[in-house]
Amino acid sequence: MVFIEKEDDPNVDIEIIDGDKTQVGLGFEANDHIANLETKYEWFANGIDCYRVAVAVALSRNKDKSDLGTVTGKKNKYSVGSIDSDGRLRELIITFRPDLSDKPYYASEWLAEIGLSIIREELDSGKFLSEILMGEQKNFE
Amino acid sequence: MYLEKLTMVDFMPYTGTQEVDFTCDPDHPVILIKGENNRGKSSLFAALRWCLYGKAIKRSGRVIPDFELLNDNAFSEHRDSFEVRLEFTNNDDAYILTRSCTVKKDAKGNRNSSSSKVYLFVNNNAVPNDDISRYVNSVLNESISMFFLADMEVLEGYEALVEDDDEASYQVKAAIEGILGTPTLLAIRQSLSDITNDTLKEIQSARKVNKDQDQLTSDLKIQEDKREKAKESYDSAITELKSQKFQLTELSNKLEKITESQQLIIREKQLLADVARDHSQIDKSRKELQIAVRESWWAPVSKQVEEKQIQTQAALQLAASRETEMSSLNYRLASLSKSLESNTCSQCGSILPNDNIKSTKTEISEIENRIKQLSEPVSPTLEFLLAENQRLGFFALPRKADSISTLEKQIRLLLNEMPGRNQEIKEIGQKLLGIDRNEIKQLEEDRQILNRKIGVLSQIMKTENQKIQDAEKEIASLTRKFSNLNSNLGQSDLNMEMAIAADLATVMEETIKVFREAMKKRVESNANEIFQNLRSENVVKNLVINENYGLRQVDNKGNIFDHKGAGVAQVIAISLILALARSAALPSALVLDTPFARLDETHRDNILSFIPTESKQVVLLIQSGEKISSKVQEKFMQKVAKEYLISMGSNEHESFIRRT
Repeated sequence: MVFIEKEDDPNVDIEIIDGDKTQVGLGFEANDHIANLETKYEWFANGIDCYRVAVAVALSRNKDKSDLGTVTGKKNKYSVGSIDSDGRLRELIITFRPDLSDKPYYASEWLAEIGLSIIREELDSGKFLSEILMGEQKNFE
Repeated sequence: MYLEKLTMVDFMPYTGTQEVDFTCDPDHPVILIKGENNRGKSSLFAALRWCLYGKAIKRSGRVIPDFELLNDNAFSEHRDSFEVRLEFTNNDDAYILTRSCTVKKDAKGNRNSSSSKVYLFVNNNAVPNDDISRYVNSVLNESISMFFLADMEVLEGYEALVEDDDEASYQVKAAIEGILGTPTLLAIRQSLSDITNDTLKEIQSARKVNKDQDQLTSDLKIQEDKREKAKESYDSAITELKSQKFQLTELSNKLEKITESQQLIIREKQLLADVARDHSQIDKSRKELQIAVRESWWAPVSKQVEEKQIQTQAALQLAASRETEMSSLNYRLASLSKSLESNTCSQCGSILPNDNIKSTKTEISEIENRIKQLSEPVSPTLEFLLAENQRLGFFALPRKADSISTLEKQIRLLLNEMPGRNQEIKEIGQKLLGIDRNEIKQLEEDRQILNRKIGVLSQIMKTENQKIQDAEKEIASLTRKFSNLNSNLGQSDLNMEMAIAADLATVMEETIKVFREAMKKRVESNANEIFQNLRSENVVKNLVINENYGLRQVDNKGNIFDHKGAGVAQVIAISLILALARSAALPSALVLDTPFARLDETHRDNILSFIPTESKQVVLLIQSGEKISSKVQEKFMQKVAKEYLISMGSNEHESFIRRT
């Protein structure tokens, strides 16, 4: 069954499938992080890759929705089909956060928001991407 | 040649072995052999000729077959061979010539064939059989033997002397010239002719050499031209090279002055190239990294995934062991319940004792409790664990994830170098402010062009130098060939040799002509002197010699007087023989068979008076009944060394010769 419900923010139209989202969006800050990561470090080919990595980072750090500050200027950015064509994103969320298993894409938004913030912060602080991704210590300067 | 001894064995009429000793001395040069007609004088004469030349000739001119020469008595007494041995000297060499013959008979017993053998020893050394004929002819050539072994009853040969053109006169002439030594001169002339011919061949060879020389000269010219051309090209290249090197030096000097700028430009170029290369490498690595990140985006949770996988595995193992225990307990419970119901041992089937029933009930109670415990729901459930395990398997990291770290480090390293390089480029740019880069670029290009030109010129010089060397090698080879040809006799030398040979041949021809004339005059003079001593008539005054050594009579008025009787002809023949003997190059014994056959007493006397003085050895075979005047005989006999008489044996087929 497909139905649509309004988000808290009246400016954002959210499509929900079986209660979960079919379009995911990010706030201004998260979008800025993506733009920054794309242009400054060029580690990611596009925003979708940033989004997914950010979700994984947030999950790995056991972040909760409460860790997310205020999100403003949220806009739909990617369709669920784009960010999770193979369903792996959904599975990952369900695996690590079974409590979010009824709306994993919904959860992916705040996870991405938190993750992007972490990535940017850590990269800017001099951490290597491989450290963030693989947990490896950089062994050179 | 002077005779020493003749030995005949069963030869013609001479039965058995018979010898004639011819030794004499200068005061007694005559060997006189007398015999009646048909007793064997001519056979003895034939024995000499047969021994020397292997031929016995009848007065008719017919050659007598060898098998007829065997003595008839010997043949009838079944002796089948005969032999003649002649011992003689020539130029102090002692010769022993032996000729023997074996006669064969036909079926009827008639003699019909023969085989002969000949042996010659010179100073006791055997002469090879093939050389014997040559040796004998060198002593007394068969062709001139008629003048030394003279059968005076055969006048045809001598009469031919007065003929001019026939074959006989030609042969006689040749024989006479042989006696006089003309052949020696002719041989010399032949040698000169041979020299001339050889020289002609050499001239032809020299002409070929000249032709080869012309070809070589032409080849040399070609090679020299090639060398000159190569030298010109080489020299031209050297000049050009010098010019280019000069320009290069000038350019290099200019470039040296702006070396620092040039080096900066080069460095800048290098840096820009490095930057471009690094950018390219960074782009490539970044793309690979982006792909790796995309394909392993869940990497941040990989450690948690691993931990979860371990936990899940452990939970699964625990669940599995609970299941196993439950199964085992159920089985045991069923078994015990069955035993209890049937009151028999489930294993051996025996009746259970009371104690055992009690303990079985206790065990059943314990098992039921444990099953109850195990049956209580556990969280997570096995189904959940299996699903979880499957999900976790979904997050195994791909191999590309391993390259993320390497690629990032590589990119960071390259990026780290960028600012330094960019700074250096910037500084170079500042230093080069106000420098005309185009001019430096142009100078550098010019230098490269000049270097290329110098390279080309060097290659040209190398090629031309090789050509020069090749040409010089070829020239050296041709010069060697040329000098080899030159080492042969030059044509001018050959021409001179030819001219000398031709001159000598002409001189020789003239000499022969003069010699012939002189010898003819000498023979004519001697013949005339002898003839004057021998003749008795006054009809003939003189003899004149013709081209063929023929003697003709001249009457008192100086006219040719051809009419002559047999006696006169014989006197003329004897005159010629004696004249030739006097003029002979090699003196020899005179053997005259029947010299008086056609002569009257006067002529006989004249001959006997005269002949002993004409040779160191004179063998006269005369008829026993020849009349000789007493006054001549006495004087003649004083000259005789030995006298032999041929007489008949027991029959007419048998003769003996004995010294008297």
